[in-house]
Amino acid sequence: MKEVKLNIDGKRVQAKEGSTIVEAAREAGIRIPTLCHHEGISPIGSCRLCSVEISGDGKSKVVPACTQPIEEGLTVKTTTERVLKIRRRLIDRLLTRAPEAQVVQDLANEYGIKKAKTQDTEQKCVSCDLCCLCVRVCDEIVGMKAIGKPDGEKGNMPFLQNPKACIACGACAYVCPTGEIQMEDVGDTRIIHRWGRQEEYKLKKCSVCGSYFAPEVQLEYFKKKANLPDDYFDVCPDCRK
Amino acid sequence: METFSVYVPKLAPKYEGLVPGHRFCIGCGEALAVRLASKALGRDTVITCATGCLEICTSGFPQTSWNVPWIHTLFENVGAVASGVESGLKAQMRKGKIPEKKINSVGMAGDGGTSDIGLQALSGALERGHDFLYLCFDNEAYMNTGVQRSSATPYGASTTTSPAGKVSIGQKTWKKNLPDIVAAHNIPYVATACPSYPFDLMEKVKKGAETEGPAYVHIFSPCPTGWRYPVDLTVRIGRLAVESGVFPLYEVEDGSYKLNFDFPKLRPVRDYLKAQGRFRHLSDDEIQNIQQRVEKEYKKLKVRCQET
Amino acid sequence: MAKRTPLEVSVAVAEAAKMADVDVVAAYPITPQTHIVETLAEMVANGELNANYIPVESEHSAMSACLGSSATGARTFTSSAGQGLELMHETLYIGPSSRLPMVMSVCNRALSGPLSVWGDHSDAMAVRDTGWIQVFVENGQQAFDHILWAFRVSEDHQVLFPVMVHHDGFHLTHVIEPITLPEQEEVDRFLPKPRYPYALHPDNPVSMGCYAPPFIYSEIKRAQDEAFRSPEVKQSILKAWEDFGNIFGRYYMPVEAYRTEGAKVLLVTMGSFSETAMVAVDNKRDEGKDVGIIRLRLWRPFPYEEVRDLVKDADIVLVLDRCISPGAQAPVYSEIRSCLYQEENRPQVFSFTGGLGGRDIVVDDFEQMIDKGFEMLQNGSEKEFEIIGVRE
Repeated sequence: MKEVKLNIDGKRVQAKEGSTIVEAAREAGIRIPTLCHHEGISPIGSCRLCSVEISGDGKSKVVPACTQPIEEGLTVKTTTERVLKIRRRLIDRLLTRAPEAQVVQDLANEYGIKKAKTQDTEQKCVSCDLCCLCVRVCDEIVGMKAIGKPDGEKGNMPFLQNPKACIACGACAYVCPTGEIQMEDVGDTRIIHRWGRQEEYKLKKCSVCGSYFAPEVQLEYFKKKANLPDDYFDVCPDCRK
Repeated sequence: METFSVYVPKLAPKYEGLVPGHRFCIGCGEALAVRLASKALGRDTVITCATGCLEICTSGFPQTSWNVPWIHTLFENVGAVASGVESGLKAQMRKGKIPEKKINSVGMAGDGGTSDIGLQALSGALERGHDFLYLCFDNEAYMNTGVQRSSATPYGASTTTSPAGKVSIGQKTWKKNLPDIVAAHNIPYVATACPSYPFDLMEKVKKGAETEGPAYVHIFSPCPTGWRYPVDLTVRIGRLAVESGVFPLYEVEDGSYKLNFDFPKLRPVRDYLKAQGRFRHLSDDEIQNIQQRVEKEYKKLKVRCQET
Repeated sequence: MAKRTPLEVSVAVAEAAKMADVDVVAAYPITPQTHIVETLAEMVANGELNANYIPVESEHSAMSACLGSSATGARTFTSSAGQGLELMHETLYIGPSSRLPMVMSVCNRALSGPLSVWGDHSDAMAVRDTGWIQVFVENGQQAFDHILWAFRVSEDHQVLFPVMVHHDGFHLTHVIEPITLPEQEEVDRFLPKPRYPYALHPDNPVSMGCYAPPFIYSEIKRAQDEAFRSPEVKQSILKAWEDFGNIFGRYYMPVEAYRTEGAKVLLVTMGSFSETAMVAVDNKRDEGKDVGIIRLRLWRPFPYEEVRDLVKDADIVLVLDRCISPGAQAPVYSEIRSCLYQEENRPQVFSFTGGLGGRDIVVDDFEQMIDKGFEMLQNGSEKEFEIIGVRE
């Protein structure tokens, strides 16, 4: 594949054509902060934390590094005053939105923000940063579209409805950067904590070894999707010969 | 974390610290474990490697399989070299000679390089409190030199220097419990892992790297060549070892034990032993003997989990 | 202004490491090296030296930690002696073959058994072929000077080999001598900041210490040897001594000659006993005997040209070894002899061994050796080898 040469923070960097600035920078060991970015999921540039300044033709502009593709000869600056000002403003808002999220607190520390300028005392959920990684993973990777933004509730918590189509796979908990979504298996039950709710899913018991190995709802979905016999998941994968 | 196993493989870090083209045997559990560990560690890592399969299979001059900075010097000194790497980087950062950055100093060695010849260097490094992570890839014998027994070889296993014969069952001693010895140094983080549980392994390696001070992860690495089982069974053998209680997966965080996978009923060790050629000669009595020992150790571990 | 102070030589060595602003010290205590590392630990504890002191659990780990530290580009120092150096043995080969710069002061000590904490050169000779640049010093000032010199040579990009500075256990380490300590500014002028070109760092990943299959091992070892004996390395060694002299006023050479003009009998010595031997040479010169002494400073890479040049007019060369090689010729002797073997007018070379395990060699002993030399000059000698100062 063709390699593209560019300059990030004064360092000459070479990366594959079609990469984004975030990818090229990481490859070169240059850190750009991100929240809504995950390398396995298509970028949408919603959190804007990855804002960087690019220049060419004597002009410069601020772009989200996670969606901006690299170009030959591009000059990127990741920590200009303009960029830092944008990031500080964003982190300030994030601190209002998700004050208890560790990742947000770490960012605030790094950028020297002690306390958010505004407080939202009405807010029920104090960790969600609205990055929508859960929405995207459920759509793109799992294919269930169980989590989605409800229409017409702009600016509000997007995920208030119970995700009926959920198969309790945990992909959303895995990608959640703030720890708002968490999952645990307790005995015969899988519990998913999200947005102040606690959803319970029954786990299937292996008829041979007796261990609880997967949520029943998930196994039903697989059976239907792959057209498997009804007793296919009576035994766990380890006991299946 | 292992319960995520259905979709999250697509979300695992794409970064590879150990790249293809290496010379590991087909079905090598260690290669799999190192690959997963290097994904969890990421780019900002310096690896110190002991002599052994890992070094031989990844570094034949003039080639290298490593994307991260990597140093090999000798067999028994990984703990000490990693101490030096950590101190060298820290001192230079403190003195402004190189930019401040979180860089993981990681030692990697096999069971021989850890529990036998390298134990002293490891113990010293743990006791001195260096901020580093040590990964032991335990394939239960000196595999690189041709399957000689080590102190990590389990009871009853036939190796080239503990062969089963007319008057011998093979290895006559019980496996040295290295995670326990390491935990006795009162370091902040000790864990056991197995590549058959990839997300658990990555999580533990990541945790170990993020820990301030010494961290240790003992990684059970099935070896088709030395254990004599078909190469496609590596992942299954690892799972059998965990499910039978032969190699329980647990963490010790600041002295507090936590069993990561607790099964309602342990699988019989026979299922695990019978799958491997190195245990083929064992009589029913000996298998029973091993079963009792495994249960006893497992119970001890569970008591510790409750008490701490 | 540089100041002259009475200092224990071990403290002076530690002082030199401090003035070199070392980043990492990894050491394990062993007599007679302890005062060096104790002093360094104290300096770190008092904040006088900004370094990481790694109190390792063995010499094997001391050198191993130094390898790791040096590989990250940190200025690295250690010190050992006798059994400690032997326990390090395996690790010593790694530094030169991986081209890792660092400095070790070796407080020469006899090897067990029987156990002896006192001085001789057995430990130095055991590590002769490890590929380190090695120098022997004769007094405290030289010990101090050569630590600074060693860092300068070791870290030179033309060199990148580790350097051992040998000084005699007890005879040097534990004596108090007047030492001239330079100003920090002078040291900084002589010794630039280290910039190791292949440092282990994620920004520029390298694989270090790969294994070599038979198709390449010989080529790698030859490359190492060629680099080690290259004119570039020699030039760097000489230039560092020259610059040192220009800044500090003390000049050194690979081989130092003393009263060799017209000498028929020549003594060859290494280390602190050289100064005693010089007194004997003075006495004998006063008696009208044509005797001189050459003192080997640079031991590896061996200064063949210099030795041949200094020895060419002598008839008898008396080599003193402080080490025995059971069943064979003493190491310095055999080196000197083989160095001269191809010469057209080669002198007769005689081997003395003495000063083992802390046994003194006094002026009288050296005078007797010189007398024997002149006897050989007249009557020849059946023997080639003698252990001196030993009871029957």
